[in-house]
Amino acid sequence: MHKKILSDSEILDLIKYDPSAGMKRLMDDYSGLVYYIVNGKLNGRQQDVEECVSDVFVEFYNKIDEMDLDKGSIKAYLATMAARRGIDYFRKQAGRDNEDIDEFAELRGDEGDNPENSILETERRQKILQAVKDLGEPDSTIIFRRYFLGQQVKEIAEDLDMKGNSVTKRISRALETLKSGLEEFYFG
Amino acid sequence: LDRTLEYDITTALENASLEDITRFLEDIDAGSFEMPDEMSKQRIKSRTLNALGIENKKENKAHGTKTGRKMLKTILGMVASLAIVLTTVCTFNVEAREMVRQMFSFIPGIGVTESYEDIYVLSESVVSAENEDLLMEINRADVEDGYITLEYKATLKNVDIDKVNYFVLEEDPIGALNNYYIELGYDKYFEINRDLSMPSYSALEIKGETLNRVETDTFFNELSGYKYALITEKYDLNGLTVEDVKDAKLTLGTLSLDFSLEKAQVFYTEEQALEDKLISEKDGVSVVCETKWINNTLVASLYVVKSENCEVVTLFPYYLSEEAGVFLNINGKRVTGYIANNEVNQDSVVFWLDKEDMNQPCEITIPVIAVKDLGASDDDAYIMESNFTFKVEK
Repeated sequence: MHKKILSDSEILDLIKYDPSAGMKRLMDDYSGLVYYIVNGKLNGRQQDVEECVSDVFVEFYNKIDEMDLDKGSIKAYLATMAARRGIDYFRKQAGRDNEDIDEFAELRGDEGDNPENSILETERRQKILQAVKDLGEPDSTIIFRRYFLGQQVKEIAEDLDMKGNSVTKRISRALETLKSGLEEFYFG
Repeated sequence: LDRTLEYDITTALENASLEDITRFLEDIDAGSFEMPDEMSKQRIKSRTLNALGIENKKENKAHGTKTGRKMLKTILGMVASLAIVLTTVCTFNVEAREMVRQMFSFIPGIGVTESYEDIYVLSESVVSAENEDLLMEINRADVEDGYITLEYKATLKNVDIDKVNYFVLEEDPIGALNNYYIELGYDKYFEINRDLSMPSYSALEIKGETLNRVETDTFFNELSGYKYALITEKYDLNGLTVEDVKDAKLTLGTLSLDFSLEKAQVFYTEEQALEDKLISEKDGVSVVCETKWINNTLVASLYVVKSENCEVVTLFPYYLSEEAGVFLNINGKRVTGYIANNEVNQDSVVFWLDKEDMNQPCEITIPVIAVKDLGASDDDAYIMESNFTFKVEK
């Protein structure tokens, strides 16, 4: 079955015009990506993942009037929502199961409670993001695929038509570059 | 340090701006990420649309409450979904290739075009069985890649929705619901569990062989008081083909239901396809009616098959009251039918009639349909008041 490719604005129009048809089309086009991201964050039971994916689409629909396609594509909105909601679910799950809490707290460094730390944290994230962008292509894409989408090396290699070894080396080199560029954060 | 760095990179990317994420994703094809399976996708769709309350409700979010005329305008733009096409084809047992092709060619905003070759459909338009506990109805049966996927609905007849609604006040609502199901004996049909996934105790037998069930999903509609379950299951055909799906027996707990798939007949002319059907024609519009009795319930499926000088927008405009939309005449007594949920489409309507005295011939009348003149603008759609009457024999 051949589907006409719809632009982002056409999809939004379709959702506004006929919510049921529009949302079905949106889910046809993007549920695979959203599922992949959520599953990577949550790594839980399929039922939990599906529930979370569904929540992402519900959030998308509820925020449709606020969306500005000049700021971000539908793909970006959904990917961002998927990542954040996946993390929320993970936190709830970790709290519920009483597992991974210590590890999670350790990784977070408890900086969220302290406004000063929070500012530092924001600054650090911006620096890291800039450093990732500065890696240049294809390394920044590889890092994005690996750490945002959660793709395995093999998948990245297939998508980018590269060898697995080559991707592994690039990730390793990129981490070294990032580490040295961010010394001030890690070694004061 | 490496682990901290990796964590920090992940966090930084997760908190990146939309502009940045858009750039990162620019060359990444969303279509290359596949769902683990089609059923999972369907469950997500179903759950999402249910949560949003927009399934089959064509409401324009941007316009809010609408008048009948505005709603007509919306209806004009309805997407003629595959479901509608297949429902039509299924009901007539017709593979009207030209008709299907034409219908596929008009899908506003989507543009799906494909001609179907062999279509296998349920040999009956309504496949159902019931006992004192359940009404079971098969909605769909598809064979693909050596598997058969069934979608069927189970209505838990003895569940009192009002009672279920009060469980929310209990200290343990899920426990209360579980106990209620067990008390009513539904543990014969479903595994009653606390996560409410409720896998069905079902089996599919074809040609005397019990097939291996590879996937099952039970979706209880929370909003309708857990009274209706939509069950989707996939079975390994174990070498059988679609042509072998004759006299298949689906069993849910103690209730069994027989069904068959058959290759849809091919008709190349409308006349041929509609032979022996009940047809009513008024003002250039022809409506066909197919009927079936399930015990004393009459199930009537109505479709527009032809319209001259006008385009039918919808049969039985759904914003009108039921009484305005359809009525029956049984022994000279006027009776109102009720419209089955989710089955009112752009050019078709299915309704179930279970009034007293249904076990005999009757007349079904649709007094109104919505049409617009050919070439007229959407705003010129109007209600045509013509009685489409069908004399139905049992």
